[in-house]
Amino acid sequence: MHIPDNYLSPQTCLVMGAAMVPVLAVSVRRVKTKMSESRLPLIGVGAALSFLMMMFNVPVPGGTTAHAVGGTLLAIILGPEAACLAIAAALLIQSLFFGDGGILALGANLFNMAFVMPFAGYALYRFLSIWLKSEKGRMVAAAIAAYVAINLAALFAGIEFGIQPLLFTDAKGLPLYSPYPLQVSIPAMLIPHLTFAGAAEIIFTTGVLAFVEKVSPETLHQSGPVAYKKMAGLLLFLVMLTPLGLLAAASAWGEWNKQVLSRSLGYLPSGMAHGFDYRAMMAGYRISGIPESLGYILSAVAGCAILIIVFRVIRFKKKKDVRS
Amino acid sequence: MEFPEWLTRNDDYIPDGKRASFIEKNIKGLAEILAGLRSRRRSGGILNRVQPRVKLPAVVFLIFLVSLSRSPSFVWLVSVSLLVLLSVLPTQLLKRILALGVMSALFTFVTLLPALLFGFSNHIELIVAKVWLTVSFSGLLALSTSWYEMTGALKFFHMPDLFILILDITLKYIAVLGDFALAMFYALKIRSVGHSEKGAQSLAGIAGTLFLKSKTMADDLFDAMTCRGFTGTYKRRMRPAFHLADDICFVFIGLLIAAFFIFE
Repeated sequence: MHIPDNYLSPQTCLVMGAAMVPVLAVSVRRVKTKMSESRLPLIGVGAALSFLMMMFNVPVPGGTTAHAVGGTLLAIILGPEAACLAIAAALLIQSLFFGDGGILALGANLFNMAFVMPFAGYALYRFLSIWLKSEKGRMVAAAIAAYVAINLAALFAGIEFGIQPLLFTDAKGLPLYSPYPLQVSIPAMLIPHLTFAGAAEIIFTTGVLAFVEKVSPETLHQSGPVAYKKMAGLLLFLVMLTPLGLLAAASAWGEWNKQVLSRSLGYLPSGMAHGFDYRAMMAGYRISGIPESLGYILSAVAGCAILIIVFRVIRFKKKKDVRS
Repeated sequence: MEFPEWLTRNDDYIPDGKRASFIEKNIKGLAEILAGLRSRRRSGGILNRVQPRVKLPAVVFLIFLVSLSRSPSFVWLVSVSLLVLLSVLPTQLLKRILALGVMSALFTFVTLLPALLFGFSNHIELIVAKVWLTVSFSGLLALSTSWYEMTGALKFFHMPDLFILILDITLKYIAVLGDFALAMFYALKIRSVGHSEKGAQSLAGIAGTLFLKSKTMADDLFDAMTCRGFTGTYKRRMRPAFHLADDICFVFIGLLIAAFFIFE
């Protein structure tokens, strides 16, 4: 679901980016007032969790791949605003260091995965929990919410892809950016997420929730203490499993590189040919000279460590000046 | 009783009071340095559990490997391990190491900018990463080890006693003389009004007094050492056994050596 650069027009990117500014600002303010200081590093753990979940690519029939995001899961554990910040940080690191998702398209990716997903998932989860009150019931509510939320995010991504050929064409009527119209892009985005990625999202959400419920139920309460060591164990476990994500070798729908696209399309949309080109340090989670699976693990470890460091160093609350 | 002539004169002096005076700046800087020296407690988290005599050679060796390596893969590997190490450190230490490393990496990048502009951009990332790594690792060693432990580790590696003596005394007397200088600055501040243009002159006076004072202090120290029968040899009281953290450190270095030769 990571939209690369040049698939969306700069105008679309600008609008989506502008839409995310107030969302992020409000989220930061809410987290400042609502979250206790001791729970702030948990946002980093959540971000690392989401980062790892996005590395597990699931093969989808038809030659593409998809992955879980964990937006609903984080919203349930951290609250939707903190989940928004966590996923936003994960997406930023992915685009900057690993070339997963574009720099210009970051606004759109943030909108789909860091805004739509946690907030929609959390709202649905709260709504369903009115009826499903038992422990099992809440798990069912979380599963339904996670499934609906990831598909909603995929739908938004599909719409963003699909409106490009309607809005931006050159003199000959050829699309400038993403070439596929709505009737192609929406099914193409939704089918993988309704099936395999949705299933992966449900498995991750319920699995992690059950794990946290079992080892430290107080973490789930908004003000409770956090068992960081156990969460670190969970992260380590997932890191070890990440090479499984390499089994699905194909790229996801709408994330092809230029050569692949021009081969399948017969031409390269001109807006993409002369677009913004950013070379990430560990593009595609690969490090040159290191075996692929080891490189994937190293990338996962580096991403998690960076996210945890970021949320430990950032201080949302200003320290009260002792002297004044 | 007769007043001296200069005391009876009227002064037309209006302090501008806007800028912090030279003296106050010095007091602030000096006090901060002294506070920093004093507050150097052991706050290295898991790094505290590694003995200095293991830590010191490990860091030296690591810096050696990083500097020698020409393979980006190895530098990546060490970077990732540093990131993991950083992510579990106490927040205060983490911030200082990050600031240290990022500043030096940034500075290196700026010095390398001309090469980038002339089109030699092949190894810039590698050099910047190496500087970040070496500065961060040496910072970790320095900030997680107290000076007493460090001299102990130096003794273990048969560093000459004279060298340890000089290091030991230097470190102690930086604090002692710093306190003395701070007291002189306070004295100067109490006696001066407003903004002084002649700040630099008073600094020379303080430096001179400090030098004289250090000379008497050195004589005193010599006498005290003679009285206590100090012959200039340092002895280690005990040799602590190796613990799990030390073993982990050994394994880590061993793995990195293996990686160094694999990727080279």
